[in-house]
Amino acid sequence: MGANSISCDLLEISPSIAKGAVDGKFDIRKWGTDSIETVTPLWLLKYLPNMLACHIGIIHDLQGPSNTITCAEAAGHLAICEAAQIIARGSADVALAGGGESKVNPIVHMRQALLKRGTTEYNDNPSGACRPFDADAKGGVFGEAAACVVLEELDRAKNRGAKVYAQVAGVGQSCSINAKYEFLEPDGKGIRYAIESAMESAKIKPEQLDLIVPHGTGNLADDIAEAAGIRGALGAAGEKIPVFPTKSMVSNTGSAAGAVDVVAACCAINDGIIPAAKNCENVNKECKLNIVKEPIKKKINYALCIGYTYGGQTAAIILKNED
Amino acid sequence: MGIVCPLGHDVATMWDNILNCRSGMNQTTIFDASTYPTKFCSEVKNFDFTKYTKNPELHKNGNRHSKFAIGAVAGACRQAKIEVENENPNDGVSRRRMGIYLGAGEGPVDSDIFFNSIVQGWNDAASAMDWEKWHAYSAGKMQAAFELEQEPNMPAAHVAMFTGARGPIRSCLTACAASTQAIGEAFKILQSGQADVMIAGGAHSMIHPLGIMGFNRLTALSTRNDSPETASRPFTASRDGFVIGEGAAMVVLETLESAQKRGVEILAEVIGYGSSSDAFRVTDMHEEARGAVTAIEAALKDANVSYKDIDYISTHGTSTSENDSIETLAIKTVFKEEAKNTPVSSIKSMMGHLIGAAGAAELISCVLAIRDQVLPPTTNYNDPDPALDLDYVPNKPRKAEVNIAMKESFGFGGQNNVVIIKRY
Repeated sequence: MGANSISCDLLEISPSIAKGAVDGKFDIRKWGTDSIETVTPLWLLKYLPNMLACHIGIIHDLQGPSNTITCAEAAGHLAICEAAQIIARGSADVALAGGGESKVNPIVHMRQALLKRGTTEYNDNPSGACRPFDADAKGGVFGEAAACVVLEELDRAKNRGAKVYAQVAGVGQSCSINAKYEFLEPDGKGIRYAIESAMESAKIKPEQLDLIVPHGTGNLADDIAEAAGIRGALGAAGEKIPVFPTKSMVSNTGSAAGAVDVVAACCAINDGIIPAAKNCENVNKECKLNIVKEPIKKKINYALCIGYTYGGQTAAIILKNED
Repeated sequence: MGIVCPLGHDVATMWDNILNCRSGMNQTTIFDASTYPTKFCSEVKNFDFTKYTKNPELHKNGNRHSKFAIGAVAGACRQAKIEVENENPNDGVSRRRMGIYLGAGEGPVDSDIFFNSIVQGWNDAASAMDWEKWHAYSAGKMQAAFELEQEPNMPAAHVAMFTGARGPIRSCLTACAASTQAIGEAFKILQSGQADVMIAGGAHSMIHPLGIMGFNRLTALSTRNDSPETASRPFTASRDGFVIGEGAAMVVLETLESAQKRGVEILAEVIGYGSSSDAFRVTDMHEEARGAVTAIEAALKDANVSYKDIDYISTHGTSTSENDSIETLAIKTVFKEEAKNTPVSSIKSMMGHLIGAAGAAELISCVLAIRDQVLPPTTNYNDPDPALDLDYVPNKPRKAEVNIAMKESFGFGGQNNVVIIKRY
């Protein structure tokens, strides 16, 4: 599972902390003496990132390997990368892989606003606020989600008659290195490296890709850097392959985002349709990507999903149509 | 190998302290814990990260554990002849073939701002938060750089900037099992051919007001406030909880081919990794040690060795009532007739529990046990628990033949991870 540190439920802990105040200022000695014991005993367990996987494991009695990848907005992608490798090496037959996070929390919103990653404009137009790769992009919008896929060795899935939505054909991972590490390096090198590794492991050429689901947050600098990374890895084909960003509709769901995108790509592959992008009427000139304007009906043989995060971790997953 | 921990800022100092049975525990100084149920811990003392980097500006906002990570990675890379902070390294390792896998914690919240924003915003009469007041206070005080550093992927970000690694980079947090899992998965990344070198380990500090409060509320910490140095006493009858520590521990894993080509010293070989889940309870280990047994057996199978081949087990050994009993049961279940003949110990008796970084620190002690043919002890073992009857290497180190050693780690929430290493 991809998961992140879980920001504090302020309403839950506030009465206890407020009791620790002396003359309007927090006094840790008073808190320790008077009110620590009013905090619910299992408080800490709510905030361990591995609890998502723990609860899922208990509900479904999953006794095989369990890991929690805490690479923020790349965590969902990286969890799926790792689960695919766990299946490939035979450490499990079936894996649940994905991610979940709620970024709808006062501290998270404040943090992202201070980091200038969240938009403070479009408050009167929420559905138009997240504009990945668009000329009027003003920053990201944060939300909450969980998404999950079942991964299984291909023949095993076919033998038991399970519907195969897509095959994980290749994965790639790398890192952006930037002194301003809340953003991507401007040339998108970490994105390029991850895509190149994924293409190499899938053993396909750029022309074989029919769909790209980018990370596309609506932060202009990051969108431009990601586009540069895509074009760097895929060459001329990178400007032609249809690109469908999801965050303009779903928002940036942090550790869930990669899994959301993989699920979206699986749906596109199965339905043979690439939906139209939202909030990207005027593609930013520097991005030079083929953002989908109208829905496209076509067979999708290969789809590429891209993820990255503040802090630099990058990932790419190539899905193959199993028809 | 590199380490920054309560027992020292380098591997040699840590090992000397362990072989001399010294304790890292102290009254808590990081914050005022004088009215907490637990007033002591095991802190990293007098650590100055600027000694390890040419570029302290880049890392200055990092949290304690990110700075510990820089120090530990510096030591590990020096020993493994990997150049750091060099855009054009000449060490024979392509940065696209070099990855990072950390078991790393989140940074602590900026306590002063966090607590006071609540005090300012809380309306006690209405039993509700006045969000406008909260917002006005927080927006004026919260700083972007420190907020960013609270994210759990930040130690990996700092290590990437420090080393230039551009291969597979992941960070995981499976509570107390995280860095053993990170090392195990890094080993598998090397085996699968995706990288030639992996920097793997852990970095964590939960010694902050909310962390200690949380563990105190779970009644997981020792409250032996009158004797911090003897508080961590794994496998004894009087054990009353773990002693929380902090630090970073890193190893450089490398494929044999790459290490030989570069002519670096090989300290030990990783031969097996096993991972499992209890799928039982959020708080408790499975009473029959189901998950622990599965992980140990999976690691033995992966290493293609028998339990009879294991010369030493570095236990999770937290000094909590539950862990030490169930871990003993797990070892007895797997090791059968050999259980009582297989020495096991817990260096947490001296180091404290480094949480996410614990497994990596303890794996380093396994490598040193193999190098020096000596078993690190379980100290403070003065009143054996009659129900726990393994050879816990009590109170002093012991000379022994050690060719294969096993590291076990079990995390809150039921993740179990085991790594087996062998003398090279």
